[in-house]
Amino acid sequence: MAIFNRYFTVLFRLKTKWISLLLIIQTVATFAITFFNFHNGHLYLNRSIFSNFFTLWLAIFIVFAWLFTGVFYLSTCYQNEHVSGNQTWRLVPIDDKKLYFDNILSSFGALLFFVILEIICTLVLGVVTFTFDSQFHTTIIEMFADIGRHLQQVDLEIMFNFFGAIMMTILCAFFGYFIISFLNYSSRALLDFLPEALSKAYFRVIAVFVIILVAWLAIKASDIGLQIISFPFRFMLGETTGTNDDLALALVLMLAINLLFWFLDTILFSKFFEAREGK
Amino acid sequence: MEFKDNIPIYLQIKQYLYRQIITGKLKPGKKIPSVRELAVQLTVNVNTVQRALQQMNFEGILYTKRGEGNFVTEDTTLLEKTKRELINAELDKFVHSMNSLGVSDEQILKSLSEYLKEEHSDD
Amino acid sequence: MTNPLEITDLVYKKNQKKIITDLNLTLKPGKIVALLGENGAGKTTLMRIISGVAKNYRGSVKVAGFTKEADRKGHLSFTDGLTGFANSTKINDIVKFYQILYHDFNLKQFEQLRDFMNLKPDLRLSELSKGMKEKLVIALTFSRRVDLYLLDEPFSGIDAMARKKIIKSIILWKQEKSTILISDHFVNEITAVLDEVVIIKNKTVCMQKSTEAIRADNQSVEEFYESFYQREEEE
Repeated sequence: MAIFNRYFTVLFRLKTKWISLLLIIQTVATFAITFFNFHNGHLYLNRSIFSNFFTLWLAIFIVFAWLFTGVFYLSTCYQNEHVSGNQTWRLVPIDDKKLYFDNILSSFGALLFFVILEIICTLVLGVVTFTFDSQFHTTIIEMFADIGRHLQQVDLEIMFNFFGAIMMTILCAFFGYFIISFLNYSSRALLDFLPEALSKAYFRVIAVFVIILVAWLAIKASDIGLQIISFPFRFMLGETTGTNDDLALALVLMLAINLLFWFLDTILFSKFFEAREGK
Repeated sequence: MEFKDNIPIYLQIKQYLYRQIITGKLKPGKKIPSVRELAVQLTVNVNTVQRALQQMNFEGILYTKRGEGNFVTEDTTLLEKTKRELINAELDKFVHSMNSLGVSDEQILKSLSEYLKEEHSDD
Repeated sequence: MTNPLEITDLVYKKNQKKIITDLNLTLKPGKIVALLGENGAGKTTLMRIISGVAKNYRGSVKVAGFTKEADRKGHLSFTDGLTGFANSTKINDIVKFYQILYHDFNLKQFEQLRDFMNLKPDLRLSELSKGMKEKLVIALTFSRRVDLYLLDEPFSGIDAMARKKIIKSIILWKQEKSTILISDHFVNEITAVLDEVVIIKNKTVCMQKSTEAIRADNQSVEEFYESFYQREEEE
């Protein structure tokens, strides 16, 4: 097996190590919250829908699933940067370009794995609810019937819309990784270049702001540049017409922005960004 | 075994092995420990041990059997000669230091025989 | 045979300060070499540059004839402080990491070394004393089969018994053709196992000499090393 795959395997294991712990916490916490709410009657939710214990649990579990996915995403962001700057990980005989890509890809893989596990957990809880709550039971059956009726109307446009949204989410996840790495690497490279008196922790924060400011001014200087870069974000904020053409354009531009930062990060990582001394 | 750090270590290893041979700890015709074993035992560099053994091979006090290692010579005249050389070297040192204390050769002889007599009556 | 290490005209700057200037160094196969210099002389930096973890230097660094960083990393073994692992990591899990990522890692040899160092495989990093951790690092470093071993101050802050174990392991497990570079700021404990000393002063290599040649001049290696720094004090 090539070093790229072996490195991926080890990184994936590292990043998914605490998933089981996270899921147990989520299950226990949501159970506890449901339990107390259900018996104390301090319920701010509509009683008629959440009359069943499992239905309430399912609802809280889904809210927590979003929250915990966010937490897990942040943990992969942290681990990306931890691995990048660590001597143990950097001493492995693998090309820096491959190491960087392995790092980002394994984080995304771990995130995908986590989302799949969340979906499975939700489905299991859903099936239990389906069995115990007759009201939920009928609502779901009606919903599926409704979907079945609309299924004939699903055309290419709706499909594109659906998969486009998924693609956009994926690109955004990568964008987060790339931009955090970029700020980490460029600020460190800047501080390594400046005199030692400036290499204090708070100068790092200043460096990050300076880099963001310079990048912003550089983009703003050219009106077209600003248009190009801001488009995907304006699209996501609903400031554009929101047609499928806009989605396609937003996707292409987002992909281009990702590729640009991937390229910049790879250069910074392999030429300037040193691992900290590991003693 | 502690080595002096201002004398080449290969010379000190040779001295050490001479002593082992003369005192019978390494017997004529018998195999001596391997280079690595000696290096670990004496906590010295393998290359240094190698150099000492090469010289001892050249002098004839050791001989090499291909693929088996180094053996102590069975040539008794050579062993006797080595022993004499070692004794002479020690006596040389002793006489030198006595002379430097201003003791004449005759006085050395007298003092030594008296000293030995006392030592033996102690036993 | 290619030399395990060849450095030519190396210059390294950080924070607008020169740390290494015009450094040249060649090491021959099969040697044990000490890299000596006072604290802050740039010994660790030099080892990090050789290992390809310090970046943005000028000059050429060849390890076993290879210049590309990934190839260099594959032909050398550097004592790493194992900072990539959480404190709760067991020795066995660290070994798995090495087994997967280093194709030259020899498990049998590691187990022999681990036994020799009296380390139990289910110990966690947090349970190791400084001396035990250094022994583990040495065992991991020597379990790879490479041309060049870089030991960065392996004897600092550990007791005499651990030190002796480490020195003996160096003699026992060193392959004939591989070269070991050991950095330290003082030398007396290991002189008997050294072939050569390399002294770093004023940001560059100021002397490279065989230990037996030093002794042939009736000088001890320690005196020889100290004379370089005394001269500076007298000036």
